[in-house]
Amino acid sequence: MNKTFIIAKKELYRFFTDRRLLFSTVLLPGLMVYIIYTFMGSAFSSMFGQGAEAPRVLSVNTPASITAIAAEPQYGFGIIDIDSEEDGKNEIINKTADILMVFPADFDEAVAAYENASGGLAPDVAVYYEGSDTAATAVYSSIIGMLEEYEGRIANKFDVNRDNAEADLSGGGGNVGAQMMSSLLPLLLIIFLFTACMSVVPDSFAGEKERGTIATLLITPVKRSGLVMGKIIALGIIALCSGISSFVGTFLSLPNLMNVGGEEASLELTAYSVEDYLFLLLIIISTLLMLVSLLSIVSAYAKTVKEATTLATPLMIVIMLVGVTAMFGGGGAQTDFWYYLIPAYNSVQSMVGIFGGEFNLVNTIIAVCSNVVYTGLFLVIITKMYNSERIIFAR
Amino acid sequence: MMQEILVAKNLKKTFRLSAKQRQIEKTSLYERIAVSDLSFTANEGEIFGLLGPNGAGKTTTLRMLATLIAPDSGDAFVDGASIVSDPEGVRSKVGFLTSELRLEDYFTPNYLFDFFSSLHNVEPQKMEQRKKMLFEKFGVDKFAEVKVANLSTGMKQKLSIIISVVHDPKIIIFDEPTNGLDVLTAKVVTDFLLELKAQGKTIILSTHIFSLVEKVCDTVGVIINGKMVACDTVKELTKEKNLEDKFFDLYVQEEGASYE
Repeated sequence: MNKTFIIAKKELYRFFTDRRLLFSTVLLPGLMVYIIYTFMGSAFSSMFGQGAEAPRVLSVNTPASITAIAAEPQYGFGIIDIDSEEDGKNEIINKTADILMVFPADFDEAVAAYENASGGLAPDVAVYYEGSDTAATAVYSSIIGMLEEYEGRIANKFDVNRDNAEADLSGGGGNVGAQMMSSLLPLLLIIFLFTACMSVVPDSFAGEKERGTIATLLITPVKRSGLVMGKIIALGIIALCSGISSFVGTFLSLPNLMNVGGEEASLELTAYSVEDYLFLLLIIISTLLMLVSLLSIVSAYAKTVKEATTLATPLMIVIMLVGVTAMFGGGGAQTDFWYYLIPAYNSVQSMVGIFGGEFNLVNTIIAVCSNVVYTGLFLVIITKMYNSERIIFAR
Repeated sequence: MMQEILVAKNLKKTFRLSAKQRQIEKTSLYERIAVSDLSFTANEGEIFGLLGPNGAGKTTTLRMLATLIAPDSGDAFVDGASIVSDPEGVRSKVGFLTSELRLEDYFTPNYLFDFFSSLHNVEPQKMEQRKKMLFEKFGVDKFAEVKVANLSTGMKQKLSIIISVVHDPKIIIFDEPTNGLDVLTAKVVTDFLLELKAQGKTIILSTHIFSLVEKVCDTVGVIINGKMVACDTVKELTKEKNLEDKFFDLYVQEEGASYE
């Protein structure tokens, strides 16, 4: 039997027969992600969703034009006209009303009479709300949006997309979902992959060193490279299980998370082809191997598990920053091939491409291959480290 | 004529000193010599003892022979295999036991025996046979499915001995084999050493216990401060006086008048 395989088998046996370890590493991440995202989703929808009461919007000197625009379906505010500004403010403070608008007495006439070029002060609308109330704050934003739209309408000099034509030419359904996924999922995934590796790698390398069990292995006729390889294969498999668990948790909870404002953010999982999924899997596996071997270097260098975890924190921050770049960068994947040679960034960009529906075969393959090359390079480094007694017996 | 099976030639090993340690020792040297120009030969079928005080370099020498660490210069040949150029070859011929070799708490003796046997390329049939024999001899058979974490200290030690010889090595290297054992367990170990010798195995052991050397060793090498100050058969060394007195003579000769 190949010795690398024997080592890998032992690591896997250690992991998969330990129910507590299995629970905390594989089951728990997925479960936690599902619970947290579902909770966040329901918290959001109760904050903004239809379940909440209709906002109470008060107004002094309400002009007819505003009553009309507020009644339009996209706003749907029923405006309650009151006489006293003071009473309205009290209502806001007591949180019995969300918004108070105060118009000048002859708002419509004053607006019609106002000349932009005159340089004089334009008629002013005062809008009040209670800032500590999140629901009121949300209503405030829509009211401001509504007023600004009205301002745009009366001073109409030009239109943009008047007929509300399909301005987005990327075509196809599920675009809202694709956009959200292409910016959010790579970040989540790369973090999950990293934390999955963090939960198993330090113990296998630094832990064995700390417990003194590594020397027992080193006096068997196993090549150091075989030993390192066996460990990395096993850890890759374990981290993959953990990563898949987080992934499944994310997928199951995303509809709950994105179900904001009652409108389903059309998350059509079927929008992705088998090819997309296949390459996503390849990206995930190659990224895992790269991360496992990278973390193995850190863990092999550290004297204890605790030190390994501390040393890995800066790496974690870098990985998170790289993940965050997916949310910027103009909403699309990088197209130049050399971006796909940078470890971690290449994985994130490939995922942005896949989730955003702009899958690029060549770049994705470059990313997978470069990950494999990095893994090989890291393997050589760890093997070198394992040959160094100063590192392996450091206390 | 006995066959030479282990030849150590001019083994040297130094360790780096930290800045603070240099201050304490008031030295400008960056390295401390742990083992210096050490040569000796062990014959097939004998028990060779390395005798020396704490910190003399015994463990360092054994660790080099077991290829756990590499010598700075010099070489040793274990049944023809060089510890420098063929460490894997050496490892397959040698069984090494020291207190620093721990077994993973999670596994059972049964699993560990199988695991290390397969790493040593032991045939499954031979593995089962040896497992039964060794487990019975050391009384591990009743605890074969108990995790190492739950074994007593003595049982762990016995299991370590078993694991070190899973592959039936020709040469067995024991670092302080009876340290920390009660008299009963220590006897099981010394009996085992003699039994291995009877099977024609070669044993290299390190100790600071004179009685153990006198009891089991054929040849003894005395190490003081990393240097081999005497190496002869126990019979020859103890011709005039007992081993303990002889050792003190050697120590005074090497280190000057006081041995405080």
